[in-house]
Amino acid sequence: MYDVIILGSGPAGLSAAVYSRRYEMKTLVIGKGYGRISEAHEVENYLGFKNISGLELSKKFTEHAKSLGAEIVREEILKVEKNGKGFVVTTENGKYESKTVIYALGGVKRKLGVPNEEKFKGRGISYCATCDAAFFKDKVVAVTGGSDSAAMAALLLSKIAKKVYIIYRRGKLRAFPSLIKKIEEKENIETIFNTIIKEVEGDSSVEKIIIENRETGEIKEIKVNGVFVEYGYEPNSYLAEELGVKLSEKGRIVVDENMRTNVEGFFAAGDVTTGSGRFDQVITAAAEGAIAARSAHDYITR
Amino acid sequence: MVVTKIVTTGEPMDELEKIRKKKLEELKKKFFGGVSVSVIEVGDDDFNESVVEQSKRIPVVVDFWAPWCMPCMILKPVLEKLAKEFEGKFILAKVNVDEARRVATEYGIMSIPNVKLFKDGKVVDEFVGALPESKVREWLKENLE
Repeated sequence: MYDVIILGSGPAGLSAAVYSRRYEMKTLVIGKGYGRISEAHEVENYLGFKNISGLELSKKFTEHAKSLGAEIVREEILKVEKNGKGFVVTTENGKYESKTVIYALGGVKRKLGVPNEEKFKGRGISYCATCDAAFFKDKVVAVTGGSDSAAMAALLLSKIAKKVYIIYRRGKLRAFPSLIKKIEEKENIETIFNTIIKEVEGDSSVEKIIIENRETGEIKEIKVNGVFVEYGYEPNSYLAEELGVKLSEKGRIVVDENMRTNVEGFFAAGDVTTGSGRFDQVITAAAEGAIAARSAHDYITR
Repeated sequence: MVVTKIVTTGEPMDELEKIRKKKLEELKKKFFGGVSVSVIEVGDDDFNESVVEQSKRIPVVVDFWAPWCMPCMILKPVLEKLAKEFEGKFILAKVNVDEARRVATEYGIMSIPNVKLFKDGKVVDEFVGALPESKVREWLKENLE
């Protein structure tokens, strides 16, 4: 029986693990990877690190949590259930029991939403620019979206690909101004606003995209070899929902300032919550994880 | 016509399995000094021999990965664990696409992690992305049994 089971091993989950161990709680972290931040090729706004790759930062978080005695297992989580006063978590490999749960499963990447998406997955459509940019040397690619991660993807690709199109449905990118400035300075990045990708076409791999201007309705065709999907994330909250945890309209877990949910002993942290003004940064995720751990400790010892 | 009824109790299969494993161990000792060969690293130069040719004798699961790819790091221990679990049924060949660029181009790798199963010198099935352990196990079972 664990004092706390933390679901998710990104910044929120690992920060919760660090604080849980500082409170001397028996702590288990269940998570597949290191959260979405691990796919960022550069992180430049986490305090104490001027420039570090997301992967490296994630490894440091993991080492920190492990060094304090948190157990980490890499398993797919299937179900979370109430068990008397505590909880049972079922994974692909077994069951774990705990007094409290901190739910920090972040988000699931949104898909492009075109008819041929599955066909071209791994054949030109990519969901991880850091992973796949290298395969598009001197090619033409499109990045969809206007967020920080879209901007970062476009900047990374501009160093490798011949030409990068940013296709964004709104009239202005919503990335940090410093990133927008860098994009504007790049000669091989062209941003097409108010536009969405309607279709992706090709023979054995991606050859072109059909785009539509949302204001004029104009349809255009662009030859590209790759499409990098950066449409943001859907909250990965369905396991909590099954347990009866209250969600917001947009599917985030509703938390109070102590990261408590409507279910006793069940806390949440990071991008999956309504907390921190939905800022979705590493530093806010880590802060929420710390608060959730304190609340779990308060709950056990009250 | 005489119909021979085959009763399967599970036990004879276990026996066979034991014998098979023992034989495998013996062979390994003989040829590789007892070193496990279920996981190998392969590059441009030895891909043909270690993957294409070898797959004519035993299925080869090729894991195309790169050091900058986070999902690859997630999938790696899963594949290594399953290579042990399925020992003798397939060989896991890890290909670092940052080094083995010719092979990566030849097989049209555009997204990693990318896993391809070679049998009889040809790709017979594949998947892209870091699937969870249970899904990869299912995929292997479907393809190997």
